[in-house]
Amino acid sequence: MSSTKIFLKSSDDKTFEIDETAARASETLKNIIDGGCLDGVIPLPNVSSNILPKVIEYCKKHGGDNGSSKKIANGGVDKDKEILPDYDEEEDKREKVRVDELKKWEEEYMDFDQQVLYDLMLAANYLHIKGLLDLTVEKAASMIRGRTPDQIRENFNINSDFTPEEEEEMILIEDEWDDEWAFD
Amino acid sequence: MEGGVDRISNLPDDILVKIMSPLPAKTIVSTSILSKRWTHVWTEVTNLDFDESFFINIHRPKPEGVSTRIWLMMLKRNGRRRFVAFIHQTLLRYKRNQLSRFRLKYTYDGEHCFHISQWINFVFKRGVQELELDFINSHRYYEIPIGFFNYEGMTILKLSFCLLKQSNSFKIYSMLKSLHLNTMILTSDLLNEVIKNCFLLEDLHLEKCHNLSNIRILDPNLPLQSLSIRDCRILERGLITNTPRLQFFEYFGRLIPFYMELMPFVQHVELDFEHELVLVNASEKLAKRLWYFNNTMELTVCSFFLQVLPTYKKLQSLPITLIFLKHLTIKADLHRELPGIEFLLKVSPNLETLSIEMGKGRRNIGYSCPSGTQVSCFSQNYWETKRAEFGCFAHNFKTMKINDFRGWKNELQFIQYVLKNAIVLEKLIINITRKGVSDEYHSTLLVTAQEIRDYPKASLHAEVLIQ
Repeated sequence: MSSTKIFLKSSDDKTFEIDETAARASETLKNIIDGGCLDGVIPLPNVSSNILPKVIEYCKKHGGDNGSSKKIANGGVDKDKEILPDYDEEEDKREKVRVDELKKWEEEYMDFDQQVLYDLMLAANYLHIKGLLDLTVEKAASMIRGRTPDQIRENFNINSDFTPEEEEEMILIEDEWDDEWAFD
Repeated sequence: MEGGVDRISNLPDDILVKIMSPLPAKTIVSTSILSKRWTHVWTEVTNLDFDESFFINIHRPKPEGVSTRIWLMMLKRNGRRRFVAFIHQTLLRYKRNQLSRFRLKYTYDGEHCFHISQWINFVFKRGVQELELDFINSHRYYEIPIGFFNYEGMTILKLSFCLLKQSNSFKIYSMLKSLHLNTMILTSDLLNEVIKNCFLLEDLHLEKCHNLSNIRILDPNLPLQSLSIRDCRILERGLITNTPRLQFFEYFGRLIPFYMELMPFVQHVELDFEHELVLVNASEKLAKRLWYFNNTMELTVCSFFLQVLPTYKKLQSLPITLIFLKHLTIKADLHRELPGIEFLLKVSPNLETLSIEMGKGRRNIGYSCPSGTQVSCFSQNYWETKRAEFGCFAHNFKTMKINDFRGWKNELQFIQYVLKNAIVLEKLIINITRKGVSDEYHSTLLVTAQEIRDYPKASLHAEVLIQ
């Protein structure tokens, strides 16, 4: 199955090629393609050439498979299918293999340092690639989970811009238990 | 990462909210003191997960002269008080109008009942969709407030250790897809009424709801796909269902009457009966249970099932063929269960995988070998007299897994029998048990398992994998 090629231009003016089917993994690109405003190269002023190949790699893996929309269909949207479940067990088995393989791929794909994480997260957000955004957000969450504020600051190089007095006050507030229960 | 740049603080709010939402409330709120940038970000998270265990620090050093029991009690009481105060503070500062998920895990002791109902109101007002109230191991059951049933927005509801009373103001739960009730006090009438009112229910899980006498799920239009019933005593009037779309069924507990309409799409079935005493007609009842699940692709059965089923005299004349069954899991010791296993292998021509969970056999009072078995089913030589070539052995039977391998003689004989007869077997996977086994004995078992490699094999491709 041959596919139309799409060209993407990074913020630093480098051009990358991607199959149309892969590009459709991005909601933003999909809208541009479907909108018929496609005129040669799509400029992506928010994505640099450092990160764009990484984004394309993800799209190649996920474009066309509609992994996420299939899950939703199983959740009960596809009524006709529910009434007559045409169950194909071979398909089911292949699906399982696919899922396992994808998990392994994701693990390898997500092995990078923090700086890449933000670029990728922002690119996924900008291009509306839900799966990629979820993956990167999850990784960031795992770096916060179970950590104290001090550890979080250290982990992410966050500098507290509170004065020592403010900080002390905040800790007091955190520890002080207000007996006023009224809220709504 | 010394000298690194703080980039996370420059992310837009909606991404930070997305990052924080799945985290426990305590962590989320603590981010407010990271820097000024972070002070208010957390107030827009979509999920709030309050777990008491984050507030009880049992590692805090005990002062001298205080008994451990008293100290623990004080720590817990203090932790719980801070927890309640924390929830209030958090809800007061929370800004979002739409809350997706709210979870509360709390040991309820009769105090703060009013506050809990306030919190529930708070989340209802913010259109909560997933609600979990977990009071497990409390000193008292939390009584669900009247008016709880007036809120219709939930898609997932999970309750543990609560008391549910009959309410007149019942609404139709047009949104509810998943209902989990664990250790609840509620009547069958109430439960059945709730189920009747959930038009979109897909997943129902009932565990340790001891006041139920029966469960009725009778609307065939209900999209119920998953039904799980665990340890709900006594259900003396049984389980009555008409759930044609069911795919997943799990029953743990006493042998109760099942009255089930056909489930053509059922894929996964697990039956685990806890009986010690074999009742009259038990075998007939079991045979009928099995018939309900003729279409299943995955089946898990317990030792009791395997022992009692073959004692039913008319078993062979029943139209039981598990034509779709691909994966059979048995919890057994490969001892008294042998006739039952033999029967299941016989009626499952397309079986591909057999998993055996060793060490889960049970002695049943009043059990005797099925009549007509020439060799005692307790005998270690049971398989020697069997020449029965099972259909599945010739065509589809590719994998056997032994979990918690114990190296027992009867176990080895069964393995020997399968290796000798399963023509298309590809893999025998042996997981050596770690349960109550010394390192020394473990290596003995390893040697025993390795000897299996030399057993005669009918299949040239059969591979023995030891883990």
